[in-house]
Amino acid sequence: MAKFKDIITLKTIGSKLILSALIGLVLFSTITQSIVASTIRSSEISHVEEKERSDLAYMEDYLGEGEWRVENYTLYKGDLSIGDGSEANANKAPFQYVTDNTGSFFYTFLHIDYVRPLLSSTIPTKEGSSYLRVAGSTTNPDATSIVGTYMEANVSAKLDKDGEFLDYAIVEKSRYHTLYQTIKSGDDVIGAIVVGRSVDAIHTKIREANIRIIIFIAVAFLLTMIVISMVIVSWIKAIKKSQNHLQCIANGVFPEKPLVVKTRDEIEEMANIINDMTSSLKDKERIETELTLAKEIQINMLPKSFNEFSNEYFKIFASMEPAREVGGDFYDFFKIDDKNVVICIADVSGKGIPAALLMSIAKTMIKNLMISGYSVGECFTRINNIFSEGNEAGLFITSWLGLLNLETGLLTYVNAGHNPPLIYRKNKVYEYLKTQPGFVLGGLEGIKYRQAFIELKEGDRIFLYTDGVTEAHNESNSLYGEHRLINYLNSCINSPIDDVLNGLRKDINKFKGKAEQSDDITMLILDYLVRKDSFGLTKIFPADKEELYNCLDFINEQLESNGCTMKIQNQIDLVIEEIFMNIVNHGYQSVKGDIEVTVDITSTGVATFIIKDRGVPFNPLNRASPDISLSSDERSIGGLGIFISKQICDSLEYEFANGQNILTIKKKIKE
Amino acid sequence: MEINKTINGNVVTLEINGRLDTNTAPNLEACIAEVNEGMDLVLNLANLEYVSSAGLRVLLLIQKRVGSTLNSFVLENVCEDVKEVLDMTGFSSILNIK
Repeated sequence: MAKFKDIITLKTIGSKLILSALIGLVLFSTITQSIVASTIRSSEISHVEEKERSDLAYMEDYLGEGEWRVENYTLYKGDLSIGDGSEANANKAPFQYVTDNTGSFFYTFLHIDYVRPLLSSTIPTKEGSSYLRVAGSTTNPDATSIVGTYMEANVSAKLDKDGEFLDYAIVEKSRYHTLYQTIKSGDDVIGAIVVGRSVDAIHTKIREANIRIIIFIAVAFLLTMIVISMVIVSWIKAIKKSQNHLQCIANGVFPEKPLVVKTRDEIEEMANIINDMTSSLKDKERIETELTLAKEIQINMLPKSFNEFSNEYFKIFASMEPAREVGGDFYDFFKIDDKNVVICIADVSGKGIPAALLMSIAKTMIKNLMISGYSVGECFTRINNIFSEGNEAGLFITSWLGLLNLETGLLTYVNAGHNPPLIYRKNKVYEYLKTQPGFVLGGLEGIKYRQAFIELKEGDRIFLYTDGVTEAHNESNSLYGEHRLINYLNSCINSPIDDVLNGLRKDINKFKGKAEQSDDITMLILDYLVRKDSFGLTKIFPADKEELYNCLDFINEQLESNGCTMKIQNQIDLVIEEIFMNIVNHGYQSVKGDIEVTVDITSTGVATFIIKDRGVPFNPLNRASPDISLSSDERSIGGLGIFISKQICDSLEYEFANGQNILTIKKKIKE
Repeated sequence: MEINKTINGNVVTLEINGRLDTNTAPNLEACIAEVNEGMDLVLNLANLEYVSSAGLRVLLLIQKRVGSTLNSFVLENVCEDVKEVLDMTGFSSILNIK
């Protein structure tokens, strides 16, 4: 409810309307009243004047025929003596008679020029007054005669001037209207006569009329106020209702029922608009709620247990600061097994739900494929083919995917059109980890993604990011840029990784100022702590016969650097080729997969090769050795490879563990 | 792998350079298939660095044709490393090595 103070200080519509109505009514009643009063008065006054004139005529008739004249200082009407200013000669009776009959009072005056000298010397004259009362029907308030008194000076002056004068007079609290006329004998003014009537009755009439008007207005006022109040109350109710309704919406709660207002005016129209607005807001809110949920789901999809995930080999930290809308950035990291960690960063083109959908699919697929044992290259090749098929929306993903072997520090990676990561080598500065990037994922079907590898050493640090970092812009639209990024990273090479990322976010925010963040800002940083040099170097190859040479190159590189002879290299190649092709042709058959090759060479010259695959479980060592003593016609074509391998190697062991075929080969490469 | 083919009368000589392995063996196989019936086939292995079981398989296939579609099959200039593999697998005793 409106507070009393608000009503007094006119802060409510009701009080304003009532005040306006009051002012209007008071003005209206005042004006009406004064118009009515003045109308009544003027008509009544003219009526009084008329009456006075007729009474005057009657008076003169009654006094008898003949002209007014002065003889021997005495005023006559015809032969009738009226008076000379003395009480003794004042002929009051006819006046009294006419007064009794008409209600008007009369008095006659003698002009001072005609007053008996003797008399005039005994009567004190009035300055400026020329008329002396001689006879009439009125007396002083104390009932003494007023014969022998002079007319008021101002009345006398006006009468002299105009010959006739109308005036009001108050006698004994009663109001009178008076008509003065000069009395002439020929052209000479010899005196004057006054006739007067009480106007109290008129005033009473006016007062009564006023009272009636006031009563009428009061009634009208009351009725009006009742009607206005009813209207105002209904308005206020409607407004209050709308207000509560809107307040609910402002508080974020949509009322279940629509707003019903039946004022049949603009307020009702407004209520209808509010209902329309509410329903469109509801729709919008539903969409926004869903978007917010989508955004939450998206953010929750990203791993955040950095400390639990990190171990003595590495530390990881990442962050994603989404732009206002749901976006398509993501980072991911997960372990394939105790030794292998996958790190990934990606940016899906576009924004909103389509990008978020694609993002969640891509993230899930990458994880599934990597956990299933595919190489990073194969993983992208497959994802690209799946996304390219029927990608009518033209959405695509840029992504960088790496598989880090924690024991060897070998980081095998593939880049699909993404910003190259920055790598910090101990005691150096950050540099881009540049490779020829592959095309974006989902852009073109049938692309084969080539993987590259780099060996991380103790103390190395790798920083992955999306273009939201370098393309963060400030209010004057300049970009944060690569140089700021590299400068910042180089300024804190000794800081812990979480400090680096948090600091970088602050630096970007500081640069950005009040400009809106237009893109997701996603970063991932990894510290490689310990390299277990005790055991070899591992590399993963897609199970493809084309990859054979890459695998042999990798092995030969190790052998050569350990001073292995060409002959033994060839022998080992023979074995590796045999095993590799066996896996390609028989292990995975038509399915694609990976082959993990680990090479370890001791200082005493014993080389160990561990070859793992996730193809069908198969122990090649179980194959029966061919009988080499048979003739060419008798000999079968297969089975030779394993036979040769057994001949060449010092030991060959097979085991099937964790869904992997594991073949361990040992060969002394130095005498 | 590179194969240089020379024909001298009834003798077809194939000089094999490089590696004879899983990926290259089919090339040799295709090349042999083109050799006419009743020819004498000579493989000059002077520049063959490496032979794998897939290569051996092709050699065995050729050897199996001697007497039917090939008149004779001879290996020339076999280097030590390759020879060792041939010895190891008992191929030395089947193949005609000069």
